[in-house]
Amino acid sequence: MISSPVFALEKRLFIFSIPGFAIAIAVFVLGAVAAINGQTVVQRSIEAQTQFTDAGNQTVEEWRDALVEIEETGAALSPFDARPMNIRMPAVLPPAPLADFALSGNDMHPTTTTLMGWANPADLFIEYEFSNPTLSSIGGFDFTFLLVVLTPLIMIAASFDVLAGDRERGRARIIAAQAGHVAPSVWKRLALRNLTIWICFGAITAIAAMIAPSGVSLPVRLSHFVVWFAVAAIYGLFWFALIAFAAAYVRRSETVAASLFAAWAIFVFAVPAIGGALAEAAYPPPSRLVFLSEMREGEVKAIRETAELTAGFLADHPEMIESDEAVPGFYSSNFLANHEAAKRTTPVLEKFNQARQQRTRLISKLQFLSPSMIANNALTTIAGGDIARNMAFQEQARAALNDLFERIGPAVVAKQRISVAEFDSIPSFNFQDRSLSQKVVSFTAPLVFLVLISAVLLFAAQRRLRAPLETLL
Amino acid sequence: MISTVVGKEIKTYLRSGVFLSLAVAMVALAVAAAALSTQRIATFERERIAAEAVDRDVWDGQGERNPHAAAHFARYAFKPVPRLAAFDPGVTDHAGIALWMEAHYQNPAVFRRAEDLGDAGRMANLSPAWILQYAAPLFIFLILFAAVAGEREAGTLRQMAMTGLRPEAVFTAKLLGAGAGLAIILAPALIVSTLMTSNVQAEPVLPDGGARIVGLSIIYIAYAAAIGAFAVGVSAFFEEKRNALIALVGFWAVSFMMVPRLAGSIAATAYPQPDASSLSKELADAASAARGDEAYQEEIRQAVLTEYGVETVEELPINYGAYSLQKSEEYAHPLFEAIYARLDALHDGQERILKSASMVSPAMAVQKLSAGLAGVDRIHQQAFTAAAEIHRRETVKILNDDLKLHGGGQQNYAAGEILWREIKDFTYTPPRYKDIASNYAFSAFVFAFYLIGSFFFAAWSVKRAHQRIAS
Repeated sequence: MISSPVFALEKRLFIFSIPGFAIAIAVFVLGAVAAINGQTVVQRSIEAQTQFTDAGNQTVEEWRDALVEIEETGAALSPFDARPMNIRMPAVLPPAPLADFALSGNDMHPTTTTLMGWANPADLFIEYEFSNPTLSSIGGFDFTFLLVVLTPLIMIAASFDVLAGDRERGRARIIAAQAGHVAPSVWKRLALRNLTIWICFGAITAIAAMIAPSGVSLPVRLSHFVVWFAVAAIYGLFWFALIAFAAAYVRRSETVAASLFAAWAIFVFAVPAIGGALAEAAYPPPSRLVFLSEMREGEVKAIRETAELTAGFLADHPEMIESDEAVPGFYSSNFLANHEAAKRTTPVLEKFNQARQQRTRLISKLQFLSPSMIANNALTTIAGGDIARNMAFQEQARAALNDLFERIGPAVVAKQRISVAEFDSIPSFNFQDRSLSQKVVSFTAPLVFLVLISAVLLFAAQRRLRAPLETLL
Repeated sequence: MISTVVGKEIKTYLRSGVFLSLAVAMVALAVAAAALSTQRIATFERERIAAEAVDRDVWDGQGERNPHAAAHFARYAFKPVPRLAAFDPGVTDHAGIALWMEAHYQNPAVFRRAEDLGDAGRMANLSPAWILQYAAPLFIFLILFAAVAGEREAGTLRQMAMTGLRPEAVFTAKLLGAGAGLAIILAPALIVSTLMTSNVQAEPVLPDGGARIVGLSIIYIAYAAAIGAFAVGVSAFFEEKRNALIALVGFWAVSFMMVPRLAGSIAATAYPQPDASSLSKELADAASAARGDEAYQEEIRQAVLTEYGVETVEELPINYGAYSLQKSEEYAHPLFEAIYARLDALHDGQERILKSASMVSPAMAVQKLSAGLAGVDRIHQQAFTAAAEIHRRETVKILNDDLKLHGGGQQNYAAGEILWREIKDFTYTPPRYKDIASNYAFSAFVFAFYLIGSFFFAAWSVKRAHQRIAS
């Protein structure tokens, strides 16, 4: 329990003071802005995806109805009706349960696509880059940004002068004279000030977590929130420990503040910036332009060698030689062009994945230099705003497209149709997300490290605060 | 007397471990940023030049084809990256770098590098401009927070007043001292990063690159001066240096960190971006709009029959299909223009909010001016896409005209390499800064206001501190 004299002092100095009110209001207002912004972005995304899926499903239904009619009557109104090349299946990356808590990672990446024979794995995701590059470069305002970047600053501003300020004003000597030591009062005052901030932050995030965007399961969302907040609390513990350490060891209040602000700048910006740049320099992503060149060379080769490719493809499917010559040749030639482009670009796509994985591995090592990177990675991953989730969507969509190619390819090249049964056996796309426990496992080690560092800092601060008063004061 | 105070300021800086550590950190950070940034831009340019060569080869080597089929295959426009992007990458990583100049469609530019950077690239972007815009002000604040408040606390400000030193002299001496101190930190960082980034192995894309470098130098020197004057003013405003430090860092956190993100989010909410799939559908509808307009189809049919003085399409000496395709292209031009104009207007609206926010965030004003001068902002991206669209229209017309003139009466007309070679490579020269300067007028005004305002504030604040000491 916090003793009443300390509480009374803190009531006067912080909790019911103008700075205390200002900090509480700032946390609430910024939290509300982050919540509203997050919900707005996610809700808009859900609405767009619903429209996209509804329109896609309707197209699929119409296509299937035409195929059923052809199977039942044996005749088609047009040779173009119900051709497998024209199957267009929507694939969507649904918002993560806590997507509104970390917007930044996903605002650049596609969340919808259409699986069809007209696409190939290399150009499956095109024409989504309409957004304003200026806004994209700034990034979004969300709870993760508020926590990782701004909350440590608020904690520092609230508590950097707990001991040094008292020392400069002579109050520390009075407290020491009355209590015999200053450690308990320093800890209690630090705890009170930071708890005030964290109660405000916890309240606003909990309220936001209770409001689930449409289509998001509330229990699943709350389970993610509990883990998200636990990680946030560990990050808060680190800053609490660092502030206590600086307050205990540095004598002058402005030096405490300057040291903590410098540490904040290093952890929040310098290390991530240098780490990101180093990772890019060490494992540069393969050129997208090389990727494009490979794709176009593949397409041209396919266009020039369509006849040869057709023969090669049908060699494996002799049962499909009979064909409906009324169907335009560009169906099969385009399919083959895509098939060839897919073959040629697969190694480039693999290089992209390799470079990304190598960068991720390097970053996962460099994050031990910055608690902010640890927190940012973990919080973004739990919230589902991480780029890895989007990459998983792209990989799964490409795999689904390859599966579609396998199923419709022989019929498209032979200019035939598939049966209704064959069509019904094509699975609709469902994104398989990592489970919460898998996510937790992926960042357990860095979080344990963060807890250990915090414990060391707290222990060192406690040792210093227990030092003889003539040394401490 | 002023020179004595200035000399004392410089000595104090040089004896300060904090100052020297920050100076070394700043220079090291600037050198690292310049080296990595230079390497990146040189790589981008190598990749672009290689991709252009492959695109030419692939285009010329596509074999004999129907020219309209070739127009569908089309060519790509690749955006050159100006050398100054190594200093300030602006939106380089967030804007598309290749544009498919396909028949019927006005596509957006694609392949944003930011998509490949990973999560770490989102927290901060290491470039010389980022260091000067964001890190340098924090360093300046950490160095100058005690410039006057420290003297006041130590009682030396009173001693200076007792020697008869007037407030104007204190103000001048403090500013000159701070300027000298900052020059020790920032000059090496600025010189090294300028030298490294100006030697990047890339084509000189900007036609007025020299003038832009001068502009950038002026902006950043003035920016450092404004920030320094503001820091001296705040230091003089508070009686305790502790409070001055809190005020300066608080201002930095709010103005430099929070406001840009908040403004970006407000802009995105006030002017919501339509989702990509609906925009793609709009473009597809525009591309096929002419086919659905029967009156237009009849109008162009009658026009061509009259032009050639025949009764039926079959009697035409040209390929009517190609003529119709070209007319459909032209029909779609204003529709595409309307879609992209709407999108541009939306983005303009978003950036108006950012400009308004720059009134409380000097870094945002400087960011706008700096990216514009470096040729790496949305205005320059728009100029690139506009140039590519002109090239697309010219290319498609050449191909359709060839089919129209030579494909009459032929079912399977195919052109070859002679025609493909007639299609020129896309070349792009960014606009001269003076031609687009009006886009930056507001930011320049805001920046000038900050510059002048910070000096007035510092002068007033030092005078006030002096008066309080004297009284």
